[in-house]
Order: sequence, then C-alpha cells, then structure tokens
Amino acid sequence: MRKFGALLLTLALFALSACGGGKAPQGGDGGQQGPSSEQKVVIAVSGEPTTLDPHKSFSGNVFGVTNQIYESLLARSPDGSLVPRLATEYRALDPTTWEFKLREGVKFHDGTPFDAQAVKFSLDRLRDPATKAPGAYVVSMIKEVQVVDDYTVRIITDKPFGPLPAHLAHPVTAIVSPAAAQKDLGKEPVGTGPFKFQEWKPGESVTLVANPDYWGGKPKIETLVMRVIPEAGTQIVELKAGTVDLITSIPPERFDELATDPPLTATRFLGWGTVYLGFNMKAGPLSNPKVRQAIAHALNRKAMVETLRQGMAQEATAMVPPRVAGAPQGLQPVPYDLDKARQLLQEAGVTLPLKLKLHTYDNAETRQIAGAIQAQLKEIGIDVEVSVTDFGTFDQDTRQPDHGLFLSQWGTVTMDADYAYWAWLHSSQHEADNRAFYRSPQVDQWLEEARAATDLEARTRLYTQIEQQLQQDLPYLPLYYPLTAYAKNRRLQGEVYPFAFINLDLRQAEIVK
Amino acid sequence: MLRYALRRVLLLIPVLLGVTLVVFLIFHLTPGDTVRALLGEMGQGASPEAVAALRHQLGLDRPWYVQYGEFVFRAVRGDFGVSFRGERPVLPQVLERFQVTLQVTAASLTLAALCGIPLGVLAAVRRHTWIDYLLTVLALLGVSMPSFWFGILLMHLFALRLRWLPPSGAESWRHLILPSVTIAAASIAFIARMTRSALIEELQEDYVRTARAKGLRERTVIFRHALRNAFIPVLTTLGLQFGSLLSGAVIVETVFSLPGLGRLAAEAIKARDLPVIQGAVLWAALVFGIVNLIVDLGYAALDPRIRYE
Amino acid sequence: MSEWKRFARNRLAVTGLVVFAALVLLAVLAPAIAPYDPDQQNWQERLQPPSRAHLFGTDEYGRDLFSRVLYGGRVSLMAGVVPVAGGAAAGTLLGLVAGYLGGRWDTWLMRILDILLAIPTIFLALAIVGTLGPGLGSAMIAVAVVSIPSYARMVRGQVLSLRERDFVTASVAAGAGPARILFRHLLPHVLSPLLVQSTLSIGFAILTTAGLSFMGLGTQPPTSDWGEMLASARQYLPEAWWLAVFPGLFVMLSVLSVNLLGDGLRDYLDPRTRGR
Repeated sequence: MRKFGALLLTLALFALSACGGGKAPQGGDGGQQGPSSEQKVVIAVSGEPTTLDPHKSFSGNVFGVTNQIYESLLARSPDGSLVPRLATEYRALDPTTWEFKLREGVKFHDGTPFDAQAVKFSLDRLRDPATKAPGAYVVSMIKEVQVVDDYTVRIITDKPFGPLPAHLAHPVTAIVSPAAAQKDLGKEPVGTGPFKFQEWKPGESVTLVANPDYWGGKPKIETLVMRVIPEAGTQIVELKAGTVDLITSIPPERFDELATDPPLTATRFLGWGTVYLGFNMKAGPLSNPKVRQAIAHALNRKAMVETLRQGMAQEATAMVPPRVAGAPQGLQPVPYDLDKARQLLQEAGVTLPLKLKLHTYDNAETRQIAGAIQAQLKEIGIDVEVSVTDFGTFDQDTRQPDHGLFLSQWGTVTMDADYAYWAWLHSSQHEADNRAFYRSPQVDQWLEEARAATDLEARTRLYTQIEQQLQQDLPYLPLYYPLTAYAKNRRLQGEVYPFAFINLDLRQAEIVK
Repeated sequence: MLRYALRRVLLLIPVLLGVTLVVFLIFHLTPGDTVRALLGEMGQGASPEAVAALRHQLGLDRPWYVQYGEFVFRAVRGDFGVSFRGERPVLPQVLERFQVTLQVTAASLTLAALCGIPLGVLAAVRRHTWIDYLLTVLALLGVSMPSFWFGILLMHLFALRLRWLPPSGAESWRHLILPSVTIAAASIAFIARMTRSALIEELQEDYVRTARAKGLRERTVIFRHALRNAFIPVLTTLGLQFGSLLSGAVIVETVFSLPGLGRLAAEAIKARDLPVIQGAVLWAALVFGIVNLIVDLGYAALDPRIRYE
Repeated sequence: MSEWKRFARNRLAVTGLVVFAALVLLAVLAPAIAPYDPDQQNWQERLQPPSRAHLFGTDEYGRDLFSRVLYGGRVSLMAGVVPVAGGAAAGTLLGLVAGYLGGRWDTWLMRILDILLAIPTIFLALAIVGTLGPGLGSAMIAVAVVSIPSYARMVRGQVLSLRERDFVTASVAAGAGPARILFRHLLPHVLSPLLVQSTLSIGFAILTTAGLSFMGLGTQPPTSDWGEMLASARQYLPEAWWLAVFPGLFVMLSVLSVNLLGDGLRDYLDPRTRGR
C-alpha cells in the first residue's frame, strides 16, 4: 500500500494548496540554514550563458558571467559617469581620433601581460567578420585601432562619434587574452577581471574563483557560483532556503515579501530599460497624428506603474530613463485625459469602433501590459486585437509596412542616449529598429549633431529638443521605465549593483557572519 | 528476430533524415528572422548592415536546400555543427543534457510503472467497487493536475517547509527526487488506466473463461494469463510515454532548474538556434526510434502469435 | 431493457455524464450566469481573494475570476474535444490500415508517423502555430496533429494482435472484404482502448493548449482558457492560490467527468457485454 500512500500524499498536497494557499513559513529559521563560514557566494541567474566568450554572443545571460571574468577599457559607475577600468584616461585628439592610456602592470589570468596589443587584438577580433560576433555593431564605427606604445592605443572612427567611450564600456567590448584566444575562450575564458574561471556545468552553473593577482586587490569572495534558475518562483524558494545568496528576478507582487523577510533584503531602482508603445506612422489610421495622440491620452500610465506593476516601474517622460547620459530633461508625461482622447478621435474623423492590431512578444510583463492597453483603449472605442508571439516572429511582424501598434522593451545598455535615439528615429534605420517608420530631416540632423558632439550638455540639449519634437509627432509613446530589482541574503554585503545584473560589481563584496 | 531488429535499425536512417528535413523545412517556413532572434531583445539597435553581415557570416543567406545539404553532408561524418549562440559544438551539449533527462525519465517512469500497473490490476479485479472508484478518481487527479503547480507545491513542502530535500538543481540524486515524483504523478494515472482497461478486456476473453472453468486459481488466471496479454497496450503506452518524456519535460525542467534536453530545445527554439534545435530533435528522434523498436520486440516476446519475420 | 437503462446501470458513468453536461451548460449559459463582464478590468480590485462579491476572487487586472472561468470553459471544452476527435479519427484510420495491411504499407506508414512522433510535441506544435499564425484554431490543429501518431500506434498494436485471431481469419475465409473486416470486426475491438485513451487525452489536450497559450501561441488576450489562466497564475503563486485552484478544479472536473463517461461508454459499446 506504499504506492497508495503516494497517491494519498498527492491528494493531501492538493488540499494543502486549496486551504493553506501553500504559504511558506515566514521568518523563523528561514534562510539561516547552512550559512557558510567560507567566502562562497551563490547567485541565481535566469538564463544560461551559452558561451563564456564575450565576443561570440550578445545576451545578458552571457555578459552577466563574462563581466566578472573580463573587463572593458571603461565602466559606468552607479552615478552614471564613465570611470576608468583597463584604461586610466582617454581624450579625443580630433573628432575622429581617440587616445586611451592603459593601466600598467595588469596581467591576464593566464599570466600574459595586458597591453596595447591585447586591446588592439580584442577590438579587431570583435570587428572581424570571421569572428561572427553578433555584437560587432557596437564597434562598427571604428575604422582602425593603432598601437602607439605598450600602454597607449589610438582608436580612429570613420565619422565623428561622440559616444565612443560609452560603447567601450559595453560588456561586449571586453578585452581578452590574445594567447588564450588561440584556444577556445568559450570554454576556457581568460580575462583580467576580479574572478577567474574554474568550472562550467552547462545549463546548471558556472563557478569562478577570486583572482589573487587582480590589479584592484584580491576580492574577498573566494568562490562565486552563478546558478541557472529559470523560474522566478524557484529563485525565491532557493533564496529563502538559504541555498542561494542573491536573486535577480523578482515578480512585483513578491517584492514586499522579500523586503520584509528578516534574513533577506530586497532593493529596486531605476535601470536602463524602457517599455514603450510604437505606432506605424506610414499606413492605416495610425498615420493620423490625432489618432496617436488620442491613444497617448487614453492610457493611464500612472495606474499601470503603481497598481499593475506594483511600483516596480516609473512613469516615463522620454524614450530613455533619466540615468542615461544625454537623457532629455524637464519633460512632462502626456496626461491621462479620456475626454481629450475621445475628442481627438472625433477630430481625426475615424469611424468607431476603430480596429487596430497590437504586436508584442511573450514575456509575463509585455503580455500583462498588452492586456491593459487593450482594456483601456476599449474605453475610447478602439478595439485592439493583441498578437503575442515569440521575439523572432514579433520582430518580423513589426517590420512589415502594414503593422499597427507594437509594444516592446528596450535597454540602453551603453547608458548613452545615442544608442536608443539613433536606432529608433534615424531615417536610415527603417530596416532595423525604426519600426514606427519615422522620418524627419530635422530630427535626423539633430541626431547626427548629437552623435558628433562630445560635450554632454550640448548633447543633452539636442536630445531634449528631439524628445519635444517627438511629443508632437508621437512615433513612439514611452510608457514606463521598469525598475531593476534584486534580493539577497543579508550575509552578503558590499555588492555594487549599478543598473542591471550585467554590471554587478562584487570586487568589494564579502560574506559577513 | 535479429534480422528484423537489424532491418528496423536500418529503417531508422530514413526516419532520421525525414526528421531533419521536416525540422529544416519548418524552420524556413515559419515567420521570424533568425539573425534578429539571435540578437534578441538586447540586440535591438543593430544597424541593417550589421544584421545583413551577420546573416552572411552565419551562412543563412543561402537557399535552404544548400544549407540542408551541407548539414546532412557534415552530420554523416558526425559533425553536427556549432550553436549560433556562442559556437559551442552541438553534439556534446545534447549528450550532456540527455543524461539528466534520462535519469529523471527513468526514475519517474519506474516509479509510475511500479505504482500504476498494480493499481490498474487492483482496479480491474475489484471492478465497480469503491476501490475501483477511488483509484479512478485519484488517478485522474494526477493527470489533471498541471505539473508546474504540483511541482511548486512539492518544492514548497519538502524544500522550504520540511527542508528534507534541496529545492532545485541537479547536483545529486536527492535533487532529482522531486522532479521525478512530479513527472510520475501524471504517468501513474495513464498507466493505471491503460492497465485496468486492457485487463478487463482480457478477462472477458474465452481463454480466461476456459482457464477458470478448468479450475485454475483466480490469481493464476489473472497473473499468468490475462495480464500477460493485457501488457501489449500497456507496453505501447509505456513506450510512448518514455519516448516522449525523453525529449524532455520542459515545464518540470524549468521549475526544478534541471539542465535537461527539453529546456535546451525550448531555449534553442526561442532563439531560433537551428543547429541546436536540429541536434536536440535528431537525438530525441533516435532515442525514440530505439525505444519503439524495443516495444515492438516486446510484443513478440509477450504474444507468441505475433511474429516478425 | 431500454438502451438508456443499460447505460444508466453504471452510476459513475451517469455521474460523469451529468457533470460534463453541467460544465457544458455552464459554458453555454455563461453570458446569463456570469455576474460580471469577464474582460472588465478594475485594477483597484486586483488579486482579491474569494469573497461574496467575487466568488472565485479576482485576477491580476481585477477581473472577476468566476466570470472568466465560465467563459474560459467555452474555449477549454472546445480545445479539449475538437482536437482529440480529429486526432483520434485520423490516427485510428491510419492505425487500422497499417495494422491490417501489414508489410510494406505498415512499415512506411509507421515510419512516416515515427517522424511525426519523434519530433518533440512542443516543437511540432510551435511549428504548426508558427506557420498558421497564433490563435486558438492553430493551437487546436497543432494538438490534433501531434496526437495522430500515438493513436495510430496504439490501434496498430491492437490490430496486430487481433489480426491472427480466429474471428478475423474466419471472416477472411468467409470472403469478407477488407472494409468490412476493418470496420465491422476490428474497429469494435479497438474501440475500448481508443475511448480510454481519447478521454484521457481530453485533459492532455486542454493542458497542451494551455501550454501553447502560455507561450503566447494559443488564446490571445483578453480571451483565456482554463489552462492559460492556470499558467499565468504561476507568477502569483503561492499567495494568490485562487487563481490556480479554481481553473484547476474545472480542468479536473472536466477530465474526471469525461473519463467516467468514457468508462461507461466502453461497457455499453463492448460487443461482448451487449446482450447481457
């Protein structure tokens, strides 16, 4: 009857879920099991790295790991400024020539020295078509990398390109050991970073150990394990069970529960992301600016942020969040005003109910927001048909000249406004990410000016002008900036989590008892 | 028998070729841009020129039959290519992942068969009594319970509340208990129901009546005669279950963070990573074919009337 | 004895029939019974536990879950029954033909089905939905196609063992044509395992459609089937248990009832228990 017992257990569990809601015990022994005396940190990551070679992939899952092993010339500090990493200083010699002084006495994990040759090798490797690097476009403006002496390189761009330093802080521009690159960096990564590679169990975990010769001093954490835990609910159970120290994905509804659990702490802050609605300006009823404005007025973004996203987002006023360099300033969001929206629709002379199609791709957040938009637009007589697909299909669908609305997410990973605005708005990008098919000679000119300029204030002014123009033209409606959130066990201290998991800095972190 | 088995193995070759062709065709017929999917959410911002260049570098700008021809040509020599996402060779990835899936599948189906067949026999023998009804209802609970839900419940109970078992991962055999039980819950019902109905069927056959009339003990009648024949549909069910589970229970692997074949395939499909999809599907198909062959040979072993010449 | 009385002797089967009929009725009458518009969002009331105002609580948009479960039944019951019927019919035909004809026909049919069967369900479904475009119709076709090989294999397995039995060889000797043998003699014998598998598959179909919905390939917002409700409840578990429990309960009730019904039908249709 042992088997019978198993079935009874099944039934009992089912009853448990129905009555008790399967609620986990709060506090008490939660999370205090097995605190290691050793300096070992386990981090839960949502997706698996498919390689440990930063040039061979373009995904956050890969960069989250490679950024601990490798370093770029520059880095973004939490205050948004660019700070030296493998470069100590840099300056523009002329609009297309940049000179970088490199840090001396740095060694790769394989013992070979870091120098100008390594920088040239890495950037050339990233740009070389034979590498098949998906992220090569990040450095596509580079024409040549010149070695001046052992610790000086010059980078020459084909056109004046102000955001170049920002691009050289992107994790894809990691500097790799030329010697190790002759073998397979994907399996045996060798960089200059604070942690060295130890073991990779594909699909399961990557284990790193402290680099004793790190130029910034040996990290206190001895062992760093990145465990792949795809399900957010599972990450939370692991964190509460004390088997994981830090988790990177938190559903908004669970945030408070984690923030108030005594052994744990949860933090959230503005990152680099934007959730936005795009309009097809070329075809159909959306080519009428009044229809686009009506839609903008009909969406209650404040309620979306506060209620649906549980405060895990901030209402957007521009296409990039304010932490991004060059982000427009002093703008007001389009107010929620149903009467105005209805009036605009009437002025536009469209027959109601107006039928529109909204494309989005499948993740819990975009699906939820698509449903909310659908319900809100119904209020003003717009029937939205939602199409949720995988990202590849979404991408294809929204490139069709007759698509309607689309809902998408964007990360301004270089933390420079050019990265987003150029791709979204420049008329040369219709085949790429300008899926609103926006075309404005004026905005094109401002974008080119901002790209050529190096002075941040001047660039900020230009992007502010652009955004003001956008509020009239409305090719896109930025909805909100999702917050970056993470939760950790309090025994982990000293971590710096600037914008996203990708640039988590554990150099000063440690386990305290 | 041996010749039959050999022929079947040879017949697998066209099946596998067919599978790869279907995968290839599907991949090229379905909408969605591979290069863009590869760049993903984070790669928005790549210029049209960069996308075109990458497409060319990956060889995706050639006609599909050229790509297919190249794939077959290489595969025959044991080269299954490298992943689009990071150039890791496909074959070792698939084999690594398959180990985990195989462990979980074997554990869960053994559990399911050990529970399901006796339960089915019990229900058939005690047909239309409260035991039969209770078993029917319990079995159906197992089937209709969504696996992620049951999995989450198990995890909360045994990993968080009781702390008997680790929540997720694949580090030790203890990590595999909860996922195996989760998968077994659905299979038990399937197997029990199939056993019950097949056995009831057999119990009405003439030879059973004859056996009973001869005065054989009921136990002998059931276990020596009826159950033996009833095993044919049960075996088919088991084989099918085993085969399909080997391609990975994506949801269970996701909930319990298991690096199994299902998750590998699902992630590859999402990213349109053709070489990995191709490798995973091909492997799943091969294993499936072998399992089916074993099932078919099992028929002959169980029922002497079935002969394979 | 009337046919109905013979069927009604099996009390569990009658229970199944009643429950299933009730579920269908609830789905059909949803517009009359549902207290709220199932798509009406009210964010201020989101994720409320069951109460007098909201019998089953509210979901992540503050929609009334009871109303949504009623309306979701329309989708789920259809998604459970239609693909199973289609898949079973096609699969049975192929299985009968393959098993009866044997030889080369059997070999090739089975190999082609092996190709289908060997491709993991989710990939095949994804591909079909990808080609036809997302939506409930595509999801149902996908689930039907995916299930064809398993019916065919099962039926073929049965036919293989029946083919050599006396009643078949006797009717062949008596000059019966293949159609007659297939449909008059073999089909009734495979009917009972077929019914068992079909009824069990209704649950599978509902859950597979749910899986597709969850990947954004089945029902599209604001429509939900029970499975999609269950799947999207996942991120609110364990706190908002009602989001998973009520749709889950309805899935379970429908699976349970069709199974009990299938059992009853099985006895009823079985030629050997007929005149008894």
